[in-house]
Amino acid sequence: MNYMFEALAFLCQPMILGNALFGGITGLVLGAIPGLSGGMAIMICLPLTFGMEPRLAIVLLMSIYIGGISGGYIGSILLGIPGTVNSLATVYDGYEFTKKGYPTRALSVAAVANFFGTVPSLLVAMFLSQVIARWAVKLGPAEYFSLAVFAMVLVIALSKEDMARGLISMALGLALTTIGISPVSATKRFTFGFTNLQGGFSMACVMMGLFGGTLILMEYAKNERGDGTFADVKIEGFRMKIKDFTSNIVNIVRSFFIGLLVGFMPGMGGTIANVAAYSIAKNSSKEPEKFGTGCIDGVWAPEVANNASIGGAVIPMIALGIPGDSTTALLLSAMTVQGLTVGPLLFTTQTSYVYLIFIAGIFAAACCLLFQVLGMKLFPALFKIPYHYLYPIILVCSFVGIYSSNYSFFELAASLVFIMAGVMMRYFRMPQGPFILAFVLGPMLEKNFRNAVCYATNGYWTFFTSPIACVLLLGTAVLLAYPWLVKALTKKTL
Amino acid sequence: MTRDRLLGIVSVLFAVLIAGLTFFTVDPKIRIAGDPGSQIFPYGAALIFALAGSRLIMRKAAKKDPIFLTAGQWKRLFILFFAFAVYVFLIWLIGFLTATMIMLFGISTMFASKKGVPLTQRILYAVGMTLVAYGIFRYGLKVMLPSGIIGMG
Repeated sequence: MNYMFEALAFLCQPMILGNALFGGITGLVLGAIPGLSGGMAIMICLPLTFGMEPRLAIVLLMSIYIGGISGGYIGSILLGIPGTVNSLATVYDGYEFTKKGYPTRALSVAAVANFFGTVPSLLVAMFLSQVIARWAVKLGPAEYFSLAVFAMVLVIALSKEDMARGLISMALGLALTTIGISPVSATKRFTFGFTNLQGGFSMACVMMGLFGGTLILMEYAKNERGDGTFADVKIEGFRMKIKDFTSNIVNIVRSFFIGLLVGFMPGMGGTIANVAAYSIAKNSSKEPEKFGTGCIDGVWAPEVANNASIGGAVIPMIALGIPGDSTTALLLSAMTVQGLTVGPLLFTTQTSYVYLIFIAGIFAAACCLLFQVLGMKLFPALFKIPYHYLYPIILVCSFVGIYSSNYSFFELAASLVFIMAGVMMRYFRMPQGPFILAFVLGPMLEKNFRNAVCYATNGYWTFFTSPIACVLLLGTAVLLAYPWLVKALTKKTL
Repeated sequence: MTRDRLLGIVSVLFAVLIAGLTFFTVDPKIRIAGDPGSQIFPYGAALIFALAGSRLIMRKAAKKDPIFLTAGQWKRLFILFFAFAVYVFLIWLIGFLTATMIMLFGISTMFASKKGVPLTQRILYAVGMTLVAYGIFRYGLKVMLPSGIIGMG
């Protein structure tokens, strides 16, 4: 309890609150603009945190994360294009309000729905993480390795992408983590005499090259952005009818639990929560025919659910150190840069940080709501930011981030290679999620695998004599074989 | 050849390259009793590349690939990539401040082509944003920005 009050006292300082507000607004703005996302917002703002005191950096990162997920609905409602895929289903009814000329009602509901999704889910996560972490402390390296492998393969299996391409993306991430000094035995690998390669490639270099630089290259190559084409709509400022809330209480509670549960599952995340909550709300409605025509229930459900998935996704990240999706993977690595060893031991070694993470998230949600309520009239301006001014400055932030992570020109030059690699990944339709997860989890995977074999008296059999590890590895095998099993069974039935 | 098949071939080549490099360059000596060694993970990555790549090669191509970028779009991509490379070189040569001004002006001009954005606006943007970025990173966040080997700042 003391830690909670400590975190609250820290967050009540005007400068820290200002930081949370800045992070929330930055995340919200970048989350709102189609093409960018919460993950991109974390990457762009990463260099801002390098020189910061860790607690301050955590507040900023959590605020950007919360803002990034919350902002997606603005594009969905005003443009009919989701700012992030997490707000995909919000388009169906949200955009109908804009087409009819009164988007204020949908925007106001979505802003409150975000808050209702985020805050309770973070409170649930704060208590559940402790329970899971207490159990996770008892896990050995064999169980940890199996859990991480299972999570990675689940991400590939659940994505709509082809499994083979997902595996290649994962292998690429794993291969990159093997460059430098290996864990356990400190052997040099693939350094070819370059001292710059001994520490491997930094997160900033790989991620900003592969995703930040590639995004700008692709946008320029396709030349599809039309600045100022956004039709002006009148937004009167925050206005929400109490009836819109009272008539949707069951819908809100149901969508909250869908979001929390789906967010907890690796690889599922906000997008599935958003779409699933919308479909369930529609199917259980007394007037399903109204959905898709500008029904307010169809705005509540997806927006509560995608934000409730935040709490669900944070639980495995904090309690196990295993992120469930690419955005939490980026958040995890950004926290690692600050010296935090996210995982079950965080609760015993850095307890004050645990509470700070959750309470900063709650503060960020409040800051985002405040900004959305007060600044709703400004939303159309977000889509008038000229891309010819926005992208070059994103590029500068990316290159500063790469340089300042190690103060190395070598990494700046290497990032050019990763930019082209990112283009090739898009060319070959390789999903990004498995790559990010493998790159973030790779060193932990190898350390646990080798430690598990070292500590065991029965060598590699340790993965099959431990019941938890064995079940997880069997689950992984089933996930990998699933597409072939389905195909074989379908053929047999036909 | 479909893109999937090409990716399959590239993956198998990657597998061979990683396995070869691991075999010839990574020290196989085991320093801790029971440790599987530093070669095991690179071999593991190579195995995944080989299996997934082979699957893509052997799989029957379902349909024709959609066009990724047209020839003109590839050209634009490489031009901007060249601009990125020049920016990195200029940071090393003349430092962050001057290189960023040049890059912001150049890239905003490239993005704004045919939009009729006035020259003065682009210059003001480049100078203004560079100074703001420099101020935030250098003085606000204490990030040491490169001043270049010829020290132009």
